[in-house]
Amino acid sequence: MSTSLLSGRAAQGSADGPAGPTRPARRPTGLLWLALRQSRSAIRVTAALLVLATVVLLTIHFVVQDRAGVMEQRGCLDSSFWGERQCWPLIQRIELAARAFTDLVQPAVFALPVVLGMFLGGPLLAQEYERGTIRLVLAQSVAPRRWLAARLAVAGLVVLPAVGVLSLLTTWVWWTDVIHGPAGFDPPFQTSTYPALGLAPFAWSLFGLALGVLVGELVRRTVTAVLVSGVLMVIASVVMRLVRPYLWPVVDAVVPYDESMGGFMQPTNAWLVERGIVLPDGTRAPDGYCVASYECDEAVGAWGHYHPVSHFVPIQLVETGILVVLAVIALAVVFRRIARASG
Amino acid sequence: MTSEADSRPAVEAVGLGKRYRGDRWALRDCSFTVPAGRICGVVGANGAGKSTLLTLAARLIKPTAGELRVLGEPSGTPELRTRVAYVTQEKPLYPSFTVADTLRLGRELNPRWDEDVAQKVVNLGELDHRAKIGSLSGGQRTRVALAVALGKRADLLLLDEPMADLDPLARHELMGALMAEAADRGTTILISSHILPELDGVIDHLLLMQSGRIRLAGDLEEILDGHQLLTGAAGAAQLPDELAVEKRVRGRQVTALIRTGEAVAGPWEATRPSLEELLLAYLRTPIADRPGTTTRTAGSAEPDREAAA
Repeated sequence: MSTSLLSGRAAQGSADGPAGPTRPARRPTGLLWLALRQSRSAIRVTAALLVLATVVLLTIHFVVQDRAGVMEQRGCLDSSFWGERQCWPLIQRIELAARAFTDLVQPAVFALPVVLGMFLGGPLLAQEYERGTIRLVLAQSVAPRRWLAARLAVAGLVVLPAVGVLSLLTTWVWWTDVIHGPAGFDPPFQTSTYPALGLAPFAWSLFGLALGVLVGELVRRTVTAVLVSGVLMVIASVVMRLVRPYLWPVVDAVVPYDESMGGFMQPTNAWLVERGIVLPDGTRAPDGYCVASYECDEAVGAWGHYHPVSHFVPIQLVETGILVVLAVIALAVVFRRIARASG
Repeated sequence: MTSEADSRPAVEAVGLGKRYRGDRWALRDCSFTVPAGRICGVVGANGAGKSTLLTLAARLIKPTAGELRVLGEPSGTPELRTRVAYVTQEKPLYPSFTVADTLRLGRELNPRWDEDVAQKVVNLGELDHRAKIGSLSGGQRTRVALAVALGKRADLLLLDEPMADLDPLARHELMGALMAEAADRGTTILISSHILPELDGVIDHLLLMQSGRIRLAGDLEEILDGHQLLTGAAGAAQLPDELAVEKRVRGRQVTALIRTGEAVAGPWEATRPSLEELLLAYLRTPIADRPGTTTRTAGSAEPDREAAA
């Protein structure tokens, strides 16, 4: 492994000098050893957080499943019995678990890419510049690009699979215990739900890491890099939230106007992007047009643009594609600059 | 090293210049040669360009102007990575690494690594291999940084103010290790310092820098032979002003450093200057202060003696 990372120089070096002391086989060597050593605390924190998150998610899952089983035994599953004395505590427990998921787990998974960008990506190079240790590395016999590649590969290969596992668990608990649970209501397109499900945590974490590394390379101060990465990640999240409805064509629907419904209603769990009414002359008026207008009395229909649940995966795929491209661009800039710094 | 490599200079600069962002020339129009196998002192006041020169030679930055050849190769050659070792003034090391980790870094990243040399340097300082770098004193960190640089077994060793935070004993001992390395392997060492006594008896080549330019460059003995320290009564005789580097009047006595090996007529008592006397005289007189000489002639007035020899 070391020879591949040290390229031909290792062979060349051993020709005109004694090789280093013999090492036990199959232990990381060369740049891989250094990258692992430099990522040691990141590896430990990642492992600890992953264990913690797994425990929390499994607890939520088993609490919900256990209570749901009891509810079924006591005939409480139908919501018309929820007011009964023997059902009420059971449903409360399930609601508590579901709330723990929506109010604690989801925001944490949502914030994870920002945290990774700030505290793993940002300092990765900024700290090297601030402490001057990049010069220690550059003074050794390895090409700076190779060092950076090893460093990024190890950081990425430690964190991203962990994020993947976390995302898988989160999505599974959301699917089995929240949206299909007895007391769950958590539409997937909600601002804090969507980024915690499926590919989103993974794609955003990759992007956050790359962005943080780029910021660190540019500002070269640890604290500044941490703050700037955080601000940029929040801005990126907000911008993506605004762009997201247009990543996939919306479904355009017109229904007969129903005064009691107060306009267009999207299907369950769908994402309503825009809605309004259709006037007698066939033109579409936006939502809110009617507040002070008698014209609504003559409305002939209600229109709506929405994303049904089936658009969830395509939208996530498009978003992931965008984020991966941006991450690749950011890393390409970093590699160019590192190489330019010292041939 | 092959005999061919021996004959090639370790460092060769022609019109070398480096300008940092903001129009400030840190180094300008530097031409000099350091032959292979020398221990070359790079001396100058703070900000004279010593660190810039060493950083250029270590290929961590690129020159703005001129040409720099290191070990016979253009300084941008990637192959030089294995052959040049560099310890910066700040001696950066990873604070969370132990001493053993840091030595391992050197071992893992350098194909020509010499574990014995590195271990020896560390062990002479009685350092605990399990101690974190962050818990060490400045002098102890310097020792570890030098161990990594020496373990690399480079052909050119660049040391920027290496001894500044070492106690006299450690300084003496590490200087000895450096000289042994140079003697054993023919390593060329460029060592910058403004602690003049630490260079005495160590260096055999000199680069004197002033305001980003080379003021004096060449073999140390030849430079010392080419200077005289004159002492005499004030007003007794005319000094050859065009040769005087520095003239100091103390009461009725005049002391002057002049730049010639030839005997000077007049009632002067002439002695060969010591390294410290020579360096102090030059450092006390910035180029611009010298009457009748421009910066250009000051730089080129002293030809590279090694090249001429």
